[in-house]
Amino acid sequence: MSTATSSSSETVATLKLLLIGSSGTGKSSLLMRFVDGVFLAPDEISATIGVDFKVKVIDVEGKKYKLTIWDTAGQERFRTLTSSYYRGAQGVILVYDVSNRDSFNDLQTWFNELDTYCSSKEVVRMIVGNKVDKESSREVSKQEGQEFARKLQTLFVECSAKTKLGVQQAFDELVQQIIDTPSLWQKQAAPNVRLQNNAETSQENSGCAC
Amino acid sequence: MDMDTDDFESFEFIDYTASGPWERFIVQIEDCLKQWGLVHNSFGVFNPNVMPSSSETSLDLDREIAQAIGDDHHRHAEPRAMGVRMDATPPSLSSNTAAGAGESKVYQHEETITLDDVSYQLCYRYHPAKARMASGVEHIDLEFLPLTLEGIQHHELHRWTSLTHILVLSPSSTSNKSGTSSSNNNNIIDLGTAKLLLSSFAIAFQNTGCNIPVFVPTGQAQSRTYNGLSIQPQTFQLQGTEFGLDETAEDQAIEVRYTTVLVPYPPAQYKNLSLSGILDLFIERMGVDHESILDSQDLEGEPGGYSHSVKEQIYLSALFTYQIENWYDEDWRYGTSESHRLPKRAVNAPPRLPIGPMQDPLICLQLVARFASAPSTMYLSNKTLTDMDATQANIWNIKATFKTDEYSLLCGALEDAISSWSMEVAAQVAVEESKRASTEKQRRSYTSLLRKGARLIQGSIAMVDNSDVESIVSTLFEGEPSRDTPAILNQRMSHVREIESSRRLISAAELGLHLPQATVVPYNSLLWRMLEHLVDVISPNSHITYPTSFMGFMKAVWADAVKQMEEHWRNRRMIPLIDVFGAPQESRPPADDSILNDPLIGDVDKQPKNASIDLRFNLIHQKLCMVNCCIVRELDAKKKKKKQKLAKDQHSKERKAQGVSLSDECSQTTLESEKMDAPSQEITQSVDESISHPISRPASPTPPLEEVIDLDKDADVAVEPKVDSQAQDADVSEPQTSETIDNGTLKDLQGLSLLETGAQLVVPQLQEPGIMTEDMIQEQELLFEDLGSTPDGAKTRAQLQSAHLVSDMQAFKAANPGCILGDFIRWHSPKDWDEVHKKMSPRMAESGNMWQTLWNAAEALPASQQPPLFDNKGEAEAALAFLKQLPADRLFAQLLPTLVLLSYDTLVSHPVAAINRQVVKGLQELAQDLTDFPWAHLISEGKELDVKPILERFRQVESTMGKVMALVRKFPDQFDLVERIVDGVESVVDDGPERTCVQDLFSVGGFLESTFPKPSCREFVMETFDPMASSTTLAAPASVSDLTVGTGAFISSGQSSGWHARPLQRRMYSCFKDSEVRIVEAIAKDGMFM
Repeated sequence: MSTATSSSSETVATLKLLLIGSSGTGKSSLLMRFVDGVFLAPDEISATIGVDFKVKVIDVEGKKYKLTIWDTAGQERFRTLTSSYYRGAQGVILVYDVSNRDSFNDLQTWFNELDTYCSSKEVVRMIVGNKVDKESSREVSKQEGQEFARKLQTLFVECSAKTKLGVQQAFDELVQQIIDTPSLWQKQAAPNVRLQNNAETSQENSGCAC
Repeated sequence: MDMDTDDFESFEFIDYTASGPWERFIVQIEDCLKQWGLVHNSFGVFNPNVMPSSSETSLDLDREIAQAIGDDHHRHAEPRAMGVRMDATPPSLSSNTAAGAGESKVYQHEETITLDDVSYQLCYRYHPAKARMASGVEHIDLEFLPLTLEGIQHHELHRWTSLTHILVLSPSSTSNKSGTSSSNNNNIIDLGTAKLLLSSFAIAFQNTGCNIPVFVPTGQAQSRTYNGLSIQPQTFQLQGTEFGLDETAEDQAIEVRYTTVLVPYPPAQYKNLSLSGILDLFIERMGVDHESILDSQDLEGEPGGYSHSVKEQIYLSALFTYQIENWYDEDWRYGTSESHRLPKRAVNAPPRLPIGPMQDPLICLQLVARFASAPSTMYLSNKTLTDMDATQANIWNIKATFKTDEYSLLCGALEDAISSWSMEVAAQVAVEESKRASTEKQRRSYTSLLRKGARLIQGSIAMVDNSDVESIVSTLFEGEPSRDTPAILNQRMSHVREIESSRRLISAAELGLHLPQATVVPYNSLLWRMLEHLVDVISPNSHITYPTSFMGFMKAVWADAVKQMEEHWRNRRMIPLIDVFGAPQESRPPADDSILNDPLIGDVDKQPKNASIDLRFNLIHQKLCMVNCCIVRELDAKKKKKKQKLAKDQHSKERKAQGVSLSDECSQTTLESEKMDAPSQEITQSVDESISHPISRPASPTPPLEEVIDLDKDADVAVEPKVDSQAQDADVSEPQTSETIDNGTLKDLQGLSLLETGAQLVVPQLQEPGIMTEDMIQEQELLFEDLGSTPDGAKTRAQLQSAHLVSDMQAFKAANPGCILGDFIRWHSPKDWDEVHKKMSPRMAESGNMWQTLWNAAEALPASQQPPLFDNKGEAEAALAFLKQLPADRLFAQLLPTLVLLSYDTLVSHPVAAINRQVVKGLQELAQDLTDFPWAHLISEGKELDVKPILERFRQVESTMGKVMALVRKFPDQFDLVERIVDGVESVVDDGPERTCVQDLFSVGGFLESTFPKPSCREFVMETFDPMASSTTLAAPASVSDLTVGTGAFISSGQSSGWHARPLQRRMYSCFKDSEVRIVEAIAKDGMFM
């Protein structure tokens, strides 16, 4: 189902990912760790204003996917602004801080937000408990995190942007899940490139001869 | 082998080279029979014992097994190729059979055989009645086999002979596709040929032991007259058919001859068609009377009557068909039901849009009254039965015939709308092509619709009457009477009939939310209603009679509607039916200043929502929301001003009372822009904080940075004198202070006090967040993406988004004199505040970071005095301009999904939707189709989209609903009966209310003494055995028909004393119609005496 996009990098598709969660949970750190491979403690990265994004091209089974990962401000006051960017996302990472119970308790609110603003019900969701390096000040057990994820039927992983434990895996898993749900991204893949198509090739888009 | 024997006979050549065409013909027949397994009395591929007798899935299983058996025979019986040529081709797999079986004709196998260059089709046909009966699926009349079963048209001979297994030979014609006897007129088989053909079969049957009767058409094809033959071996055994037939058995076989008589009218003497007359006909034709002498002393004194004992042994069953052509009924859509269970609403307030066909789709109703098999004397002796009135019949069967290819009102309107659009686009393409060929690409998507789905209205001229347009637009904008909500409707429907939870119908409102985001408009919103009116205009039942087109009318209505929208905006009146509060409008409390801002603390959900745009709905709707949001904000601002003015007046009065003189101009100007919403206590409280430090400078919208810093300094100094502020409460009058007072405070923040001044930390009034429609968001997102992911890009992005943060900072500073960034952080981003160490998180504390820079640059300025972050006027006007300039074709593309959803709503909210399973199923499938349809492609343009499958599904559901409506009208409240009729076209009428209901309907056209009309067709089956069996052998009359019918064998109950005593069947099927009498006879003869 690969289609050459107009971009020169020959990526199969562009996937939009979203990082949400309360402020100070380390969303920007996670992103920086994943994209740039460096660690800056949340304390050192300026608190995000509104939204920001980074791009990374990754290789999955020999195919290149371009990820645009949108990082959002966790502050309440920014919500109306950030929620506009939920639309069109194929994967969402809900981040909490294992050493901060409030950030965990806030997850439900974020989840509701997601339901309200996310365009597709199929969007792959992942709950990430960040900062497992701070084991000594842990306030939320892994068990609790897992149970919550089970309740909301999302993916779950704990990681540490600092030690890079689990970060790569978290993103990889999320992307894999998106790729495994073609209806999520193939509709948007390369719009306006294919004007005509054979009916046989569009099995996922039943009844469509796009 | 003894080679030495000089026996000539051993060397005798058997010469097949000289075999004539006839012999070769027989060989071909035998090959066919072997191939189908029709040897030794076997049913071969159609052996009911092998064929599964399961219920619903029988069809597929039948096919498989039939196929399997067929294959089996291919392998083991080594069939010769059944090709047209007669040359001795080596055994090869014949694909003919496989193909024949595959073509849905599970119940027939066909081969071509030739005789003297004339080719014939030999067809082995099977009627599944018995198998279905055995599996208990339904009641099937085994004596009058239904012509249609399992949706397959079966051969008429099945019905006439009541045989489930038959062979039919017919002259080949290339166009022989239908399962029936559609033989070519050019290939009439004359009687001589027929005799020859049948003789061939007789020989083949003898050779193979096939006991299936074969039929050959004679005479004109349309007369459908057949002669037939079957050979029944004497030693017929029920099961053990695998034994070889010994010679004597073959010799003594019973031969059954079938003949058809067809006359345009009944013979004169039977003209009155009384039962006794028909019996006489039977007796005469069958030669039953050859020994029973005419008895003048016969009972009842019937002239020319035969003896009672003869008649007693004739078993009779009959089938009367009554037909009522459907009469014209204007109100066919509406139930006649006296009970209120079926839709009163349908009578009082017709559904929004008409659905179903234009006219009653019912052509006629057929009632078949079945009289069970019984000795004819039973019918003769009973006076009430002599005329065989339908009311006395054992079983009633009802069948409905519907018009096919009927125009569907709703689907038709939908099609018209789409084709109107396609034409518009096509016309545009034509115009544009002449200018620029490059835009063609984009338009192609629409023109493809023209090719694929839509119907062309030839030469239609779009006419639009302005008054019609005006009336529609004014109804839309001045409000219409509210309608039933889907919830109420569903509730009502559930009363009508219990439908299992799995059969729940999804309402249109709910389905709309299942469609991809931004596809449709909300249920019953302004655009929804507008579409309703537009569809109504083009529907054939519309009050608008002149020819018009959907697009033509839409353009006119849209132009007028946009004018109305502009008018509403000018007058700051909200556009009706466009909800921006995310809840039913009634539940929204009157606009109150206190709720205008997000409180940021406490449970947000409890607070009434701000006016916002619901991005779930389509762009056009979003734009309308934008206008309404702007109106709400404008209205709120106006209200504030009013209040403020009021407060100001009071204020100045007080001042006057206190005799304080001040510079009026100054206070006037400052007060003008203030908010006075805070309760007076709060005012006084906030006054405290800055009261002793009047600011001498008049407020300017954008003071230079130094001033802000000055302000901060001032605030710092203010700490000390603040202490005795309570005492100074009365001194509110000073203009400068009053300015500071109203810095837009909302409320205290959980007892937090300012870090440096110790004063209560106050949450300021803030500017409302901006509102964006989808296209604006997209634009912004693109802009952000274009900045790239470099640090510089990130910085620019942050700056672009910092306006709100700066606004918040300014408002915070204004509300909390003497505050520092730490205070702001504690409120705005509490997690960045370390309560233990009383300091900000390192990321905030780091000097030179964005937050610090912004904070330092922000001046204290209440939200009310800040330049608005969101330009109500500009955005509303931009949205209106967008709507005004929207090309008609794009407007339609945006509204098409809603149009389809609205059509779905029309169907799903119709009362008959809930009372019939087929309709429910169809609607569920339709809902699924609509959910799966890639609507996004339509809106994003540039993709070909085929709406034909959707329209087709609509048509199907609509047509079924039309049928249900028509039938419910005829059979009020008999929903089960209606369901069965719609399901299978015909259905047995249950005793009880159903029967009463049907009788009432048919009694309308009563004739003679009977309340029933004259039957359109009367079919009789008469059967007896010759020689007349003693009453003991035929003791069980009921079993006679059951045993013989269907098996094709004449089972003489097994224990007949000897071959010479074998009862031989005489059976006559007769069918009397107005212009046709058909008699099909089966007469058995004992081969012994031949």
